[in-house]
Amino acid sequence: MLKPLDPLLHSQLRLSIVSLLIGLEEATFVYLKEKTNTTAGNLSIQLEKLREAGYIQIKKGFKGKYPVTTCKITTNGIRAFEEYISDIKQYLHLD
Amino acid sequence: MHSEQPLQPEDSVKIISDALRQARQENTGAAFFYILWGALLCLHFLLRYLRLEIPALDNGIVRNCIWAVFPIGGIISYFKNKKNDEREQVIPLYEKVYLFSFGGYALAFFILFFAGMWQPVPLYLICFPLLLGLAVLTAGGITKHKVSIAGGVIAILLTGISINASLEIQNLIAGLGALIACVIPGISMKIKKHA
Repeated sequence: MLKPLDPLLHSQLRLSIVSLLIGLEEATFVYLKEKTNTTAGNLSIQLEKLREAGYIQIKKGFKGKYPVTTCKITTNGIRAFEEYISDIKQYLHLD
Repeated sequence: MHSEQPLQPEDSVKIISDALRQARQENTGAAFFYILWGALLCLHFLLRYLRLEIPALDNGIVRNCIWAVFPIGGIISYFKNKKNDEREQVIPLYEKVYLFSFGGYALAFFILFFAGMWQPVPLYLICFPLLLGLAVLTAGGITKHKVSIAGGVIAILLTGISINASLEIQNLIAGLGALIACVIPGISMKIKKHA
């Protein structure tokens, strides 16, 4: 019996965000928007969902005069991502 | 643009691999610092070698030039870091690899430099290619940069020659170590970045 995939990660945009953040120390909102090719509004909603689940950390600050939002994956996020990978492998019979 | 359509496991694999590839391509900016510090250290040791080999060059100007490379490097690094910080949208994972490997190298070097001041043999000079080679080899191994791995190994091997060499040759070897372990890998990183 296959385990259901984490619904929070099993979405195109949220999976892209988490996969990008897993390979980086941290990334700004602008960077994620550019790489995921989505709208600011949609990205904000998805980031908030990931933050609420404790998968990412969002830090708001300033770089000079300009506001900067920075995102970083948490230990929970890394664990959830690893679990998702292992579940996907089962779906694809790679285990 | 991304949509909220149901995902197939195959799509997930593609999304993950694409994102990881993009993240891996993010530049750490290490190339600039490899070239800068490699060239300055190479110049520093080369001037020391020339001062010992050519007595006419043993004067105040050359002595000042030998040590001037460090504040020059520090000032350039400070402004480059400041510029990078302003533009930076992302911090690659590998950035910490460089920070810890070269931070460890600098700490070990300065301990040898100051603690070895009263020793008859210049320990820091002999160990310079060894420590630099280790830092470059470690960072190169983690970031999978073959030129750094090769440069690091060669610099470590140079230490073997340095131990039994004269003071003049030890300076020359240290300069060669900086060239092989820093300048060449730095240029290779820069070429790879623009390729």
